[in-house]
Amino acid sequence: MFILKLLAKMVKVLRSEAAPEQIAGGFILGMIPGLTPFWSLHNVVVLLLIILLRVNVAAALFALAVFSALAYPLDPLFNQLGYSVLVNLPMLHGLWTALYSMPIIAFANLNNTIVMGSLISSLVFLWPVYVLSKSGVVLYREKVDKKIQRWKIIKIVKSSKIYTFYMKLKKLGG
Amino acid sequence: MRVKGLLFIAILAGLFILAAVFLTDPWIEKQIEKAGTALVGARVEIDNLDFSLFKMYTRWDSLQVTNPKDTWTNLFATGPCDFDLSFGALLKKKFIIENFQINGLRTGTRRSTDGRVLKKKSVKKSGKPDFITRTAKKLENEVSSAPAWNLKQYTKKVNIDSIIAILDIRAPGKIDSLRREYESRYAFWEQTFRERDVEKELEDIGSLVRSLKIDDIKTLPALQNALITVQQIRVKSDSTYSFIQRTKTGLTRDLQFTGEGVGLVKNWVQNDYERALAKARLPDFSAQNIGKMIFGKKVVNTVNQVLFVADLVRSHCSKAGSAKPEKKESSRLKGQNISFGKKGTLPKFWLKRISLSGETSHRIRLAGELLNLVSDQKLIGEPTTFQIDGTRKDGAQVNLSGEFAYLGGQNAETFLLNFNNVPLSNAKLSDSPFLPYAVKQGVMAVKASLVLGENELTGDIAFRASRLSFVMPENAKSANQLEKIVNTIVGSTSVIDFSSKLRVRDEQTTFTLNSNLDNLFVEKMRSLMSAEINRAKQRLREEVNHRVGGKESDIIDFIQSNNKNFESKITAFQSAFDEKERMIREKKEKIENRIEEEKNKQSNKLEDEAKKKLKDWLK
Repeated sequence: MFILKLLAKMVKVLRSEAAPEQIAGGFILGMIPGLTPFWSLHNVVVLLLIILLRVNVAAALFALAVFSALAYPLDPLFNQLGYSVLVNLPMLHGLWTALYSMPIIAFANLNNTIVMGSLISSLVFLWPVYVLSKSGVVLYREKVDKKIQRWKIIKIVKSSKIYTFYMKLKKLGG
Repeated sequence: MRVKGLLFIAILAGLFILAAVFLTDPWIEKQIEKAGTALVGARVEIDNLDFSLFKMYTRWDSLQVTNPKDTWTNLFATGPCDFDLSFGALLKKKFIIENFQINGLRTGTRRSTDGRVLKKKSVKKSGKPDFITRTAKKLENEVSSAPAWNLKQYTKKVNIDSIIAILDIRAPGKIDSLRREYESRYAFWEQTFRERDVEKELEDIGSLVRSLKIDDIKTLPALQNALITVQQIRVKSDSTYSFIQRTKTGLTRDLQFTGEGVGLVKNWVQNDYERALAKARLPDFSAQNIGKMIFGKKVVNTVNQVLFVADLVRSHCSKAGSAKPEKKESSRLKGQNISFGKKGTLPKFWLKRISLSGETSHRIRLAGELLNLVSDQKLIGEPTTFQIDGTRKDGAQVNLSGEFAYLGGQNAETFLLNFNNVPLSNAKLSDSPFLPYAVKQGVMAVKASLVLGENELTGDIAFRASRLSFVMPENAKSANQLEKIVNTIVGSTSVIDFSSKLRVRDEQTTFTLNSNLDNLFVEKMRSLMSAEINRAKQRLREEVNHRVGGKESDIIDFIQSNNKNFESKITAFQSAFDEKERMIREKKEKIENRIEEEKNKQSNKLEDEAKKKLKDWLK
């Protein structure tokens, strides 16, 4: 039910006036806590960014749900990547030791293989996902939405008395 | 930027500060109590914890740690304690405490409530247990496998009649079976001798030899015929000889085998006797383990308590990060933490100094300190050490010191304990029935050292209690004879000492404990019980002999008489044969000499005739 509501909300966002950059920004900011362990220090920063920046919060929530579902099967890969980066690259050991002993940053759990692996993955995918999601929003609005509006089922629903009554009520409610 | 968002964050921060001011104290108190309870296995309680987020200090009014073995008593309790956390280190997720002051430490205080907690089912560690766990188990086994000295066993009268009624005597059955086997063997030899009448053969040979009257033979052909006859007799005697030799070899082997039967029978009878003794469970006073039995359990329990502490500290403090951490199978979404600490950086947890002061339940004033309780000693390059000293006005002294070293290479823990002049009033030295009474008065001195290595344990304990008197029971007069002995020894002993050595190396364990009570008890008990035990042994011996005796002597006679009979028979055959052989040889030699003589005679005769003819021709 929650997923359906979230999907409906997402469709609504896609059809709204919100700029594609805002939606794409929210989407990538939601992707980070989705892929990485939620209770991590960097996610506080991400949360602050979502609150402070004019990004779409619904898109962030949608991305959080989608990428959280993806994170579980990807977990062994994150673990492997994190272990390789933390252990098998000696030239980075100095950096990790410095971060490990740095005030506040020490709480980020960057010495954890999953945190490191998933954070690196989400940072690597940040820009590609931003570009893809922005293009996706534009594509949806220009082509896909019009096709959907022409679907018989949508027309039937929209012409039904219940839908008309619901829209009137919605207008009355402001 | 969203203005509403800024407002939201400000409200959030305000709520956090309010929560920190008003809610952290009970939360931290609960967390510490929960962690402590899980660690000890009994209730840990803190009163009035006060934590200041801004000043970074923590204090509480009192702390009670329940003794998990007696949940109505505290292992220790403290008065006010306080410590400061380093804020700078805390920002680096490091808990660094410069000084933890513990005041009013008291040991063994009574609790007003039961400190028991419902234990969760512990998950058994898979794989081989570590050295400390194995050692603790081995020491427990050392004590439990010591001879079971059951006092009741000595106080009861030995009831031999009931043992005799259920005696399991196996020798007669075995003797019968052995006799049947031997009878068949003897029958075989009887049959062998019956089938071939060697005596008659030898008689015939003798007659034949005797019938040759060499002196009556005058001619050479007759002598040569006689020689042929002798050779024919020799052929016949050879056949008899080979039979005698064959029989002698087989018979000697059989007689040797049957001769061993005598020893077997004697062993069976002895085994029956020993089984009867085992069933009677007559006490044996040769074992010198009384000291171990009296004090062993207490020594092992104390050592195991120390091992428990060592194990706890070792498991928490020796997990230092290696140069390249091994990849572990992590549970999903948890990952693996890689340590990036190096020498000189701060460890995760470092309690630099605990200063404590207090008093034991025996009113000994304690003062001491623990230095460098740390999550990774390699980072600070120092071991964890502690030193606690206690004194009392009457001169009693207690010193306890130790070291936990996990600085790389081999892990090692050292504990040293010194008690001097410590009063023993109302203390029980042992739970053993051999030392059942509490001490009325006395003092003790203990010197103990325990050194634990990676796979090695060395422990030495020397204990001496002197100026002793015990709380003796009032009804001592009605005690049974053995309890009287205990009372006599305990009542007359003013000094008890023991020295114990523990050596565990890899899989080998040695635990010795020698006490002055060893000889005292053994001598007294032996003098009491020896007459009774000897009588019981004699009865058992007689009973076994009675049941087996007839059959034993019968079969031994049977074997010996048969063996003698066959031996003499074969010896007689052999000597008779030798006699006939000698006759044949002599007869043969005589004939051969006669033949030689006759030949010479004839030759001389011919020579004479030739000479005579020659003479005639020359005339």
